[in-house]
Amino acid sequence: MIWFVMIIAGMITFSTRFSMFNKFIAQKMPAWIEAPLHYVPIAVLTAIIIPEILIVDGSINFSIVENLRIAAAGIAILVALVTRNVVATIASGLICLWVFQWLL
Amino acid sequence: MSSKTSEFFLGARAIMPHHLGVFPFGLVFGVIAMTNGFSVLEAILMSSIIFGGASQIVFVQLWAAGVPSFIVGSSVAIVNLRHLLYSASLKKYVENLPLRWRLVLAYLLTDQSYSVMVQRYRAKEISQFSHYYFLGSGITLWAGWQLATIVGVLGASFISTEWSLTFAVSLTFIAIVAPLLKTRSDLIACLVAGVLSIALQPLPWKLWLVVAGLGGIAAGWIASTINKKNRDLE
Repeated sequence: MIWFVMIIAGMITFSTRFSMFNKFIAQKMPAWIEAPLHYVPIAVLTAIIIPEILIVDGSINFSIVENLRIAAAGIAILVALVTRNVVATIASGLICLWVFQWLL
Repeated sequence: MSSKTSEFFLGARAIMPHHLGVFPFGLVFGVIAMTNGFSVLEAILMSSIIFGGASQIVFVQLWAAGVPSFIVGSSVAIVNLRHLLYSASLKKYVENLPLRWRLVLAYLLTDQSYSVMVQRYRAKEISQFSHYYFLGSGITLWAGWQLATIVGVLGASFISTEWSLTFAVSLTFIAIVAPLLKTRSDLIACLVAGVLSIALQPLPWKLWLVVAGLGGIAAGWIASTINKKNRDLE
């Protein structure tokens, strides 16, 4: 069962990637799909990021003092907006988190 | 060096910085899979069968939580929707390649290889061999992902949660999303998705992911439509 569902999930993943590379269907994407599609990476990735930062041991923690990820993520977001550099973003976030953990 | 090989290695080099985020991500996946009761073989092969970090983590967490298979499938599909956009955006560069090339490049299409390819195609000189650049970046990322998965799976009992590796996963996504926020409707999509992802936590089967994703997409799209109408009226 697990293999069956895993292979289905793999096929779903591959078919979204191959969707517009194929020559059999969809020569051009309809406009009503293309416009909302622009927001997909932003919305989906944000929905993954935010709970990952705010949920600590199964419950939501908004406290900037207790939940050190909030401040570290805030700094990483600023670095990402300013530098647009992958290494700088990840490194600044991790270093801030480790420093905060060490300080507190 | 022929330009095929040089394109291949330039692509491989361009994607290197992304390994800083992808390696901890793969480790985290390996550890999460093992702690959720997956076998070594299942965890390692999933990285080849699905080959998508976010999809794999969602899959493992939902499966372990006993969520019905069709919800697991729909959640993976929502997480994957963004590939449709990447695929559409790169279409014009690959559509004249033979089928075997398009199959391989589609399999290797990830957030990271997409972001590297977009920059490659924006460059002034477009080589007729730029698909080798795509291949080089894709294979390098694939190899790194497999290695990280194996290390995570085999080292699951030694890897400490205190290293905050899961935070590295959030950081990789922040590095991808932040540069995308250019207009007010982008920001609205981001805010709505973020608020919903927290507000809807009580939903069963981790459906908050699907609903927050779709809600953010709808909000951004509606905001851009309203904005456009206002501009048309002026």
